[in-house]
Amino acid sequence: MRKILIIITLFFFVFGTKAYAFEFNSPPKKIIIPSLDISLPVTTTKIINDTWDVSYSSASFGETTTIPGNLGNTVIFAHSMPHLFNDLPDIKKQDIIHVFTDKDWFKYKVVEIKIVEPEDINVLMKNGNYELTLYTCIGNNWEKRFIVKAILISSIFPQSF
Amino acid sequence: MISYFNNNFMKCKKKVKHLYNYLFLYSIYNFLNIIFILGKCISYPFSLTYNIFVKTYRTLSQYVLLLTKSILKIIKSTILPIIPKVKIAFIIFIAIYLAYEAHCFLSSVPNPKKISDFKTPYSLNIYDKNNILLYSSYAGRFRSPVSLKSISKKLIYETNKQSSIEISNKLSSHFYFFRKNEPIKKQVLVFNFLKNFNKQELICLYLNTKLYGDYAIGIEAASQIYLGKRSLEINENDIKILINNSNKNQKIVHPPYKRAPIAVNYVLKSIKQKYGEDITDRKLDIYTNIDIGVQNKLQQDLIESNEDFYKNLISKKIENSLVITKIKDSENNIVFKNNVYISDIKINN
Repeated sequence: MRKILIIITLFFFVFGTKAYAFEFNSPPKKIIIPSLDISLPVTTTKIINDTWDVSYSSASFGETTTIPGNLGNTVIFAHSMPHLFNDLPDIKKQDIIHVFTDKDWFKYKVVEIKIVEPEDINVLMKNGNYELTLYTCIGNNWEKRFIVKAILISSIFPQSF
Repeated sequence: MISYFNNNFMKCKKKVKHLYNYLFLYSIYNFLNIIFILGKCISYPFSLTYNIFVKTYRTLSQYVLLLTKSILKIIKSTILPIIPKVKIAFIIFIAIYLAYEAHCFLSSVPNPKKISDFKTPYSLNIYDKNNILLYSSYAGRFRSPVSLKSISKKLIYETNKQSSIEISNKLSSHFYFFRKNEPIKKQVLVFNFLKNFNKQELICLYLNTKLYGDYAIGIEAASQIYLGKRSLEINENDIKILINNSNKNQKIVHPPYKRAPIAVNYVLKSIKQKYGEDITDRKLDIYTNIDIGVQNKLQQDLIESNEDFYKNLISKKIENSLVITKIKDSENNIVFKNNVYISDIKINN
């Protein structure tokens, strides 16, 4: 009798429900900016000693920021090297940025360009919008930070309250 | 070594025993719960008759006070002498029966409490090789509920001008839009809405379930599809555009999201050629051999290649690699498999 009860309970656990809505779980894998001829692979980086560990071979996606497709601010950054984000300061407003994950393809439009101090964390805050911020070093001795803010164009509908 | 093993084994056994006991208690609890529900079912009609008499008296007391004197006069003069006192028991029995009938009718009236209780039209879903969802159409209409915080205040202000009875009247018509029309229940449903929600919740439901044109259910979907904005950023001009959206031929600024858009468009086009334009109104699951990883890489190549020659080549490469493997009906009947049409697609309404 007890065995049957266990089997019945397990039966309900095992059978999952079929997904009828989009779920965005995977982190970004590639970033393409056609106007600057930038196309880079993206790797996720963890926080080590209170700072993000930046890779020298690819652009990096901050792990604690939101995954693209969800409401929030996704942050992608790289060193200002010739094979990375060196040409990023030439970007203009209304330019289009493509971000790819394993399953999805998102288009972003550039809205805001600015230069801030490295201590300015307001740039990373969430504004209740589908946002993307790109992040590199600029200036003498790379002492300041160059920031590009973009907003999602491709229409994604939130599925529930 | 053996003792260590034995100790561990005993620990495991204890845990399992605990689980057994838990399940046994749970089954007893469920049994008692069922008895409780049965008892409730038996006593419910009696308590309900009492409730109905009391509540109707309370609600209608204002009117009753005005009419009592005249009604009493009529009863004294005409009805009372006719009815002998023996038949009063019979009348009470009929009253209880009528109350029971009323209870049956009222319980059959739908009582929506969430937005998910509102029915959506049938959807056509396209899946890839590994059963990942690529495209889902709510019969060409798209639904995206949002809370009041993310709707612009001007629109809320304009809908707030209407009374809550008017809004719940419209809500009941929204509720029956994709169902069989039942005119009496539709009127009763208005009171259910008034009972369940306050005015702000009513406005939120109303804006999220309204049909805007042919494509959008709800304000968020409408503003994204027709205006290319989020519903927070709507102006006064945009409100006028959205209200007048009743034509079938409208401009769509942002088409709804698809994974692997070129491949999905090709599948939709080929199905529409075979079965006609109305195919998206039916509930179908279409399984294809599309590999989303490969499609994404081809898409990246397409963006990076600037010349038209390469673009055409890549888009042809995407189209030629496509095969529809399976199409399933709403009742999980396989309609189509490996280029063999088993039967024509049925219409489900």
